[in-house]
Amino acid sequence: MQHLQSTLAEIRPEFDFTQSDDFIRDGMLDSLDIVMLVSALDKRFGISIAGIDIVPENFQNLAAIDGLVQKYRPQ
Amino acid sequence: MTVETSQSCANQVTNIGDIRAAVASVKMSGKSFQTNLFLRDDEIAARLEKSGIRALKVDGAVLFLVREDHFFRLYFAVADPALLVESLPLLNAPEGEVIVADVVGPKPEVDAVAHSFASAGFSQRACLHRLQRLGSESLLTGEPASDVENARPEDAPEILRLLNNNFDVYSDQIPTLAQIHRAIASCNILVLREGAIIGGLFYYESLGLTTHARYWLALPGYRERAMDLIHHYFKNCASHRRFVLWVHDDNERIHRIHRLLGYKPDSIIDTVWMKKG
Repeated sequence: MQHLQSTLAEIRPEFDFTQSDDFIRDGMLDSLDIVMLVSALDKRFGISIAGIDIVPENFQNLAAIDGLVQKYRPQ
Repeated sequence: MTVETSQSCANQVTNIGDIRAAVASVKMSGKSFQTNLFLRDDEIAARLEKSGIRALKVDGAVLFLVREDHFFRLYFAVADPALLVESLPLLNAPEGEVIVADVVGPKPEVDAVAHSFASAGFSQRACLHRLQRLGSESLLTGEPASDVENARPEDAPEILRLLNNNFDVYSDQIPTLAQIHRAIASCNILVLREGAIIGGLFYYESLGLTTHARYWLALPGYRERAMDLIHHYFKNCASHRRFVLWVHDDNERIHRIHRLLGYKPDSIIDTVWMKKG
C-alpha cells in the first residue's frame, strides 16, 4: 500500500490519498490522471493493466487500486 | 456491430463495450501504449447517441472518429506511438471536412507522436499548457464587485454565441447548449451584465476538491471588470484545493496574469492537430 501511496503522490502530490474513500468524487483524480496512473503502475509493478479495467471504480480509493494491481501481479 | 479490422474504411460502432474491447486489445499487444481517449463511459454514450462513432482498427492501433458540430474529432489508442505513422494516413476527412485531434500528456510523450501527425498531413493548430494553483487562499483581497451575477437559463444561447465568437472552435472544446444549461443550473457561469448585454463571463466546473476554469472572457468596454469575475470565482471556490485551467502557449499576457494569481504550469500539455479534407 505504501508503494501505491507514493505512486499517487508522484501524480498528485497536493492531496492526501489516505483521507478519501472516493478519489473521483472528491476531485483528486480525473480521467487524465487515471491514464497517467495506469502508466505509472504498469512501470512500478511490471504489469500491463488492460484498457477494459481502466474504469473509474477501479481507481476510487487505495483498496480498489490495490485490488486492481493484485489482479495483474503474478501469484 | 463490432469494431472490425479494415485497411480502407472506418466502421460504425454502436456500443461502449466494443470501444473498450478494441482499446484493451491494442493495449495488450504492445509495451508503449498511448491514447488520447480520456472520455468517461457516459461521455462516450452521449457521442454514440448523438452522432455515432466510427472506428478503424489495424494491427496495434485503433482510431475513432466522432462527429462534432464543426468537425470530426479523432481519438486513438496505439500499442506503440510509432504505429501512428502507419495508421493515421489510412484516415481521410471527407472533402471540405476537418479532422481534429488532441494529444494530451507529459511533453515528451506528446512530442513523440508529433511527427506522425505531421507526416500524415496534419498541421498543429494550437498548443495549450495546463496550469494549476493549490490552496484556497485568494490573492485578491477585499470583497468582489457586487455586479457580477450568476447566468440565467435564458442567457444560454448568448453565452454559446460569445464562446463561439471569441474562442477557437477547434482547440477550445466549446460546450454544447445543453452543457451550458447544466452549468447555469449548477451556478457555474458568472456574467457581467449591463441591461440586456452580457459583457463578460467566467465558466467553470467543480468536482470535489478540484475546480477547473474553462472560459474567462471580457469584451472590449468591460475589460477593467475582468478581474471581478475571477475574484468571484475564487470566492465561490474558497473550499477547493486544486485550481486548474488550460492556456494557449502563445498567449503571454494571459500567462502573466495567471502567474500573478498563483497559477503555475505543471508537466501536462495539449497539442491540437488539424487536417482538412
